[in-house]
Amino acid sequence: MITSRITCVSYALPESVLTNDELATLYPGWTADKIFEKTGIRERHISAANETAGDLGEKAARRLFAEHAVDPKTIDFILLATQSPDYFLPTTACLLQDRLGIPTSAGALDFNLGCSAYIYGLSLAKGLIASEVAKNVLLITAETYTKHIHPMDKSVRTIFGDGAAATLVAAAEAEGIGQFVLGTDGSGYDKLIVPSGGLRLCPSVDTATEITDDSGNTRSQDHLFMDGTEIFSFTIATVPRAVREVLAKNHLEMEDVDLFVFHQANRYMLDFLRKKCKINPLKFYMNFADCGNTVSASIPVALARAVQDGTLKPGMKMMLVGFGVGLSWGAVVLKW
Amino acid sequence: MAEKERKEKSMTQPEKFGLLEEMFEADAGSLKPETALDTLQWDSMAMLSLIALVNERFGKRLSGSQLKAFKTIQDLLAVME
Repeated sequence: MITSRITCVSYALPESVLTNDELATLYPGWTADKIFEKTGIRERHISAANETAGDLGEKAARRLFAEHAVDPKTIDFILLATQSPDYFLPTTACLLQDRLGIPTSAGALDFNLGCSAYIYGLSLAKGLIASEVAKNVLLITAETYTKHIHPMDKSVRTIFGDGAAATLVAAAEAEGIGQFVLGTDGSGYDKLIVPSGGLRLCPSVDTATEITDDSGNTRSQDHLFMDGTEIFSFTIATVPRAVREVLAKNHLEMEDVDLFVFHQANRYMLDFLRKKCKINPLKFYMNFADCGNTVSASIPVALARAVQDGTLKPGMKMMLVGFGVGLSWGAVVLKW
Repeated sequence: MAEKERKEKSMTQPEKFGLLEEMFEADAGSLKPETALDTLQWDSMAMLSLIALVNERFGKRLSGSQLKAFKTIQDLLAVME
């Protein structure tokens, strides 16, 4: 069977930065230090009003082409994950085919997933390559969640930042991307949701009505809502199991993995997961203090940074785990 | 089930109080079963700590609706087994 591997990763963050100091002035009783202590985040990058996920995805892809000498003419499939698309229709990936100078013979599609999207994207790319549909898949994960967030909802505004990553997945001789474990629990669909804006609930004066909850966070149905306790509860039940399952499926033991890169959710959650899964802190990569939780871009942003700072070296065995909105999760082991 | 094996059924009442005092950063002996949670720092971070504690020590998953229904320390003690 034809195998595949991640050849290279690049990313782009918006220019504008939101610091903990700025947030602390908005939220009574909160300090910049308290926000950092709980989240592990000092600042997040915020997309400009006219800057979309498509724009950030394009920027990340152009960096990939420039930094790794990738010729856009060699791309024969574009997969783009976002939950903040430029349009209902057409597909953002179709726009990027033209803007990036990728041949019209390339396939292109968007898929709607959040924090698990990178793992799903790798599984789709591997499938496209194994079935000889494509040889060079450009996987773009691009998100502007901050456009969904009410400024006075500290439960999400302290955590999420915007960003995009571009990954080239290419056919390879030796095994790169290994076996996957994927999972879904749609019963938790309303635990992380933007209730209005689709066709189930069209935006209106009613959906725009702002409500302040018991914790003092303000939002309307047009905004992102996260039930933090439910998401935490789901994650700590699901992720350790997925880690065990993906090790077994790849015939590996915990010690065989050189580096673990989980969805860069926030420090509180990652510390708990690392301890629960009994992962050596030296093998557990975290690098999001200056960008926050960038949803589907968080894992590839971390990969690009791990390459840059020398943590991730060729030949290393890694485990990637994504989890969140859907509810949805996925894990994979791969050789870098 | 691995989850069940990790259950610790033998935890004594003083041990449970010790964990809750640690969680609420309360003085030893200051918590009583009838202590109302709204007199303590029972916020979203405390809820996360309780979810983590109950998951770690008792292998159970607490739901958001359960957490929101809790009124007193006794309610927390009841799920710690």
